[in-house]
Amino acid sequence: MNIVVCIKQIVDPEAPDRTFAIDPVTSRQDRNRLSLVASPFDLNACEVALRLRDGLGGQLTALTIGPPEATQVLRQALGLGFGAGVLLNDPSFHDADPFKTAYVLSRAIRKLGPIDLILTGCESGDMAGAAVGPLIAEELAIGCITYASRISAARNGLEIHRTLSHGYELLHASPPLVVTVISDHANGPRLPKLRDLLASAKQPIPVWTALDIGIDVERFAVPPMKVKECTVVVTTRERACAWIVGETVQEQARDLVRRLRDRHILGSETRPS
Amino acid sequence: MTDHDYRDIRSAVARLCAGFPGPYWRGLDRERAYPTEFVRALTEAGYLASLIPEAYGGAGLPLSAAVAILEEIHAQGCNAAACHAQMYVMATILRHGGDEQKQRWLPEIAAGRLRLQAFAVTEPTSGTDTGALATFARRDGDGYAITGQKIWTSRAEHSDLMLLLARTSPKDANAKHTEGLSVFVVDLREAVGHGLTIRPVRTMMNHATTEIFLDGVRVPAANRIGEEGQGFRYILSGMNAERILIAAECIGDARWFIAKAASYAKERVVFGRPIGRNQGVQFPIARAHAACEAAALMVDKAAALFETGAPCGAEANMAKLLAADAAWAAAECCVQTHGGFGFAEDFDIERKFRETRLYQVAPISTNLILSYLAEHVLGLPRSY
Repeated sequence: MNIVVCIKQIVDPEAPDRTFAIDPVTSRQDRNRLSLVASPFDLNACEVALRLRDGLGGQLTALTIGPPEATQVLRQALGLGFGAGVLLNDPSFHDADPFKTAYVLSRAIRKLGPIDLILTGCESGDMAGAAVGPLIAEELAIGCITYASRISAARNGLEIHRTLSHGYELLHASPPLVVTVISDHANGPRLPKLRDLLASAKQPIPVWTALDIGIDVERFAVPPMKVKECTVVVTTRERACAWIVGETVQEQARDLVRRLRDRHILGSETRPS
Repeated sequence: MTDHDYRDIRSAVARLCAGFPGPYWRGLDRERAYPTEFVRALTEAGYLASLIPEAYGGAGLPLSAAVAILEEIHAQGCNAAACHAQMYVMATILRHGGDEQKQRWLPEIAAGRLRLQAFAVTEPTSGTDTGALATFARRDGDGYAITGQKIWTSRAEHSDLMLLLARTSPKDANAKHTEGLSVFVVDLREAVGHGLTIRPVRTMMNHATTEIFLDGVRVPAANRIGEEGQGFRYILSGMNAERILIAAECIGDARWFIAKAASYAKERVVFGRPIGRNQGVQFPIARAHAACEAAALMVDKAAALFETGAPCGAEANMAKLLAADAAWAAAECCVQTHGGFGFAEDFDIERKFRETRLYQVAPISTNLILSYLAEHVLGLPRSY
């Protein structure tokens, strides 16, 4: 089975809030001097791919769009056991919206040859758009299943464990297919072995430009940018200390419940006794 | 790895350490328990075999890679003391053992099936004066019968093999007291209960150290490393690596303390502003940072010399001295920055504070390093 996993490099979501800043010129997150990591859901997708490969065999390829330093996330995938990684880097790829991102990725996937399965995280760890996976499927005119936690081999295809708000559903589907992956105890990213890390460091990573994947840069206005960010604002949190009043414990409890209800933390059906 | 900083290795080590957060270490510290799961994770990932040559199943990395691994473990708030010796004790076998011994032990150590992380040198009456060792290995047919006592032998309860230094000829029979010593590999799986007793020594931190009693313990001659009587020389050659690697752990500790102190100083608001606005709070953290970075340069220099095979005794000792001092200064400023919270278990600072105190004393006391530098680098009279 040939599987491609699309990985996005983002600013470490575990970084302290105070390090978060918006570049006033680009209206995008300022990445300077911040720790960059693979988007967490994409690593869950890598684990799903690795487990499938462990069971069925096949070839795993990691794709990412980004600057040269984005090879870091590809090396991470190679260190986990992926066979190949490709960096998509071209000035015309900058500041892409989900449509453009999906278009570029789908062109690269076509160049890779016949692919059975394309995995992405269910959303990116920074902008949380949750659109790129389904849009790749649209570009490639193949099926898409979202919010999967596990994939296993089934007769004539794949069995996909899809998470719902109050349960799950099992789906059978035939490749080729796009599946977006959520975080789940069944797909926690494995730790790399030192020897695999060392081997991955020596592995060449090809860089494909727009020309390499058959994109005519002059005409790259098609598909046009369909989404434009107007403003991105960092919200600030303020802390305040309030004293609960009341002569007795019961009065204090009533006062606390009233305050929680005023702030809509408790619903109106929750009535103090 | 092509990059000197081993960025990928550091990043992977950090991800492994993320699975062992503060509560894990606090629980072990409370129970004085061994970090079995953490050591297993490091072993399975191959980090403890990083220095073993590829021909024996290891990663064949240079010492600077092990420096990066140990430093990162400590910078993440974890502690490698439970297993760091697995990285370097094998060097005595690698450098001075015979081919049969290397084939017998090194691939098993590299695969994580054999633990060699106990190193029995110090005795209750000898301290750092290795020439005063009294434990004696008497030749007995095709083996030796070893009798004596060792102390501060860490991890003996969690090791399959133990490297042991013992006298094979009487102290007075040699021109120098450090002659007539031999190195043995003791198989603890066979020796415990057959003349060898391990007694744990409880200390102020969770370090799994022990006292060892030997009463006629049988060790095959095939387990003697190198020539009889040359053991002190063999042991010395491994000590530079040990000092450099433990210095790296100190650098990791220092970085953890400094990051923790700086973060808290930015967030803790007292009298209406972050305490980090006060120079009285800033300056000790900044000074600790400067000392840490300077010491890290010496660790790098010592490791680079070691890797080329050049003499590095002075640099390895200075790296250990400076890094241990930097870690201790950083620990002190971290506690001070946190005020009362620095003493609270949940902040992990008091635990790390106790742990990093060890490195003023072990594996060699800072005083002995100063004596070494005075005598061997500066040409001053021997002071002891």
